[in-house]
Amino acid sequence: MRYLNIASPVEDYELVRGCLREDRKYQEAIFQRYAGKLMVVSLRYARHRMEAEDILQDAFIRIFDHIDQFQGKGSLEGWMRRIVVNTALKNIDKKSFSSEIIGLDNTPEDNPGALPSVFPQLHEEELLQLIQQLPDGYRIVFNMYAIEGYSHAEISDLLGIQESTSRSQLVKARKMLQTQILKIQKVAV
Amino acid sequence: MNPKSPLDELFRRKLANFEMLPPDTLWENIQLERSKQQKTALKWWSPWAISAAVLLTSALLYQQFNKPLDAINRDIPNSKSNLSYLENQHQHHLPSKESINKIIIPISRKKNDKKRMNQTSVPQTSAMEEIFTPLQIMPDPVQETSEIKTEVKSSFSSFSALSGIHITLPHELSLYSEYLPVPFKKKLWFAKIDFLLSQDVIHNTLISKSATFEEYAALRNKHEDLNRSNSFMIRMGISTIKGWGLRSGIQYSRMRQTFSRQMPDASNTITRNTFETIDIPLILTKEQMVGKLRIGLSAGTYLNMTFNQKGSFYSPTGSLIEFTSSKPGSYPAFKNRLGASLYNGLTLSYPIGNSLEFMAEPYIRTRIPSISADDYVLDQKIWYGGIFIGIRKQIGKGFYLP
Repeated sequence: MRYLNIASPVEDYELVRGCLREDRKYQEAIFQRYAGKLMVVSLRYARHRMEAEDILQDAFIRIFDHIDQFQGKGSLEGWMRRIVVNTALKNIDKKSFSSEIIGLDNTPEDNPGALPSVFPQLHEEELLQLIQQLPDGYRIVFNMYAIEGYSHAEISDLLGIQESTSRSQLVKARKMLQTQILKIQKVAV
Repeated sequence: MNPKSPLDELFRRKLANFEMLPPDTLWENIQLERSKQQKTALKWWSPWAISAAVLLTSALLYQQFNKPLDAINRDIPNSKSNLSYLENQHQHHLPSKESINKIIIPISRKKNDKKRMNQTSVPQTSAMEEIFTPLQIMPDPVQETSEIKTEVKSSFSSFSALSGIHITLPHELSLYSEYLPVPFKKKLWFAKIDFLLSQDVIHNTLISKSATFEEYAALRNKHEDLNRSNSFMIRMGISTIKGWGLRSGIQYSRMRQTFSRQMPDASNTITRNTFETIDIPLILTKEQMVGKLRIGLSAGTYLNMTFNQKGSFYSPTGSLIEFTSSKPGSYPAFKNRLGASLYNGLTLSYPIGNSLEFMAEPYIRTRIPSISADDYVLDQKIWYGGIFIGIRKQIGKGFYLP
C-alpha cells in the first residue's frame, strides 16, 4: 500500500501550487494521493490492466502539463477524473457502439434493474472484472452514465453518437451485467 | 439527476471510492516521459525565432520612434527641414579649399595672446603645436559654428521639442504590444518584479564621418573610453507556466568617463565627464527550471527616454569644448534621445524564500544609432556589458488573462 493512506495536512490547493512551480515533490504527492482512485477509473474504461496503466500514465502526464488550467472551481479529484476519462475515450473506436451481442436479446428483461441477491457479496475486483468483460461500447456508456453520472445528451456529445445509441448501449450493458451476475449466483448456489 | 437502477447505484457505490495500486514503475515512467517532453520543448529553432522576433520588434520600434523627429521639424515654423539642415552641416564640416585657407586657428594666430590662453585653458602653444600639427588644417567646429549659430540653435530646439514626445510614450508602447509574440492565451500567468543593480563595462568607439577627421577620431579613441557605469533597474514581468515571459520597466544608468592627456611639457590635463540615460526595456524571455535553478534567455530592446551629458572634450584644434546638455550655449555634440538599443542576457535565479529569488543576469547591450548629434563630425557607438545582481519577487499567486 505504498501510495495509499497518506496522512498529510497539505491541501489540494497547496499541491497544485507546488505543481505549478514544477516542483517534483508536490507532483509525487498528488500522484500518491490520487493514483489509487484514478487507477480504478482507468481500469473501468480499459479492457485489461495493461491498457489501464497506459491510460493512467498518459492522464497523469496531461494533468501535470495542464495543471495551470485547473481553476479551482470544482474539486481537484473531479478534474483529474475527467482527464482520465477523456484520455480513455481518446482512443475509442466509434464502431464499438454499433456492435451487437448475439443472444443478448433473449435474456429475461422482466426487471432489468433488479438486483441479484448475490450482488452485495461481490468484491470490488469482481465488479471491475465484470465491467471490463463488457464490449467496448457497452462498457464506455455504462461507466459514463451509471458511475460518472453523465446524461445521454452529454454522452452523445462527448462520443459523437446518437442519444438513442447511448440509451440502447446502456440497456444492453445492464442486461449483460445481470446475466453475468446470475451466472455467478448459480455457481455460488 | 439521471434515473439510476439499483444495479447502477450499487456499482457506483462500490467502485466510486475503491482504490487499486498502480505498479511501482508508473511514477518513474511518468517522470521519464515528462523529462523527455521538457527536453524537446525548446526546439532547435527557438533561439532563431526569438532573435527574429526581437529584431523585427526593434526595427519597428526604431522606425516608429524616429518618425517624430521629422514631424516636429516640419512643424517648427521658419526652420529648415532636418534633412536640408543636415546636408548643410555635413557640407560645412567638409573643408573646401576656401575654408582651409580661411581657417583661423587660435593656437597659431594668437601665439602671444596669454589672456586668451588662460581663459580657454589651452596648454602651452608649443606643446599644442606638436600635438595638433596634423590637425591644424582642420576646421574648428566651435569657430565655424559661430557663423551658423542660429541654425545650431534650431537644431537644439528641435531636440528639445522631442521631449514633448515622452508624454505619449506609454500610449505608443501599448500600440507596439501587438507585435510582441504571446504564445499562450487564457493561461495562468505570474507577475514578478525585479530590483537589479549592475556594474557595467562600456566600450566606446568614435568613427569619423569623413577622411578629414580620421586622425581626430583616432586621437580621441586613444585617450577616451567610457570605462565605468552603474545601472539601477526596476522591471515588472509576466510569464507563463511554460516559462515564456515579457518584461518591462525603467533603467537608470550613470556612465563616468575620466581621461587624462599627457602633454609634451609633461603636464597632465584630466577631463571628467558624466553621461546619464533613462531607458525602458522591452524584453522577451524563455526560462527553464534545472533543479532549483531557473535559467532563462532574455532578448529585447531598450528605448531611450533621455540622455543627459555633462563635461567637455577636445576639439580638433585642441581647445576644450563643453557639451553639458543643461547649460545654454554648450556645443550640441550629442543627441538628447538615443533611440533603440539591443539587449541580450542570461537570467539565473535561485529561490531564497517565499516567492523570493536571488537573481544574476549577465548581459550585453548595444546602442543601434550613434549617440553623437547627426551634424557632429564623428559617430560615437557604445557597447555595454555587465552583470545585474538583484532580487526577484513574485506578486500574488498568478492570474488568468481574459
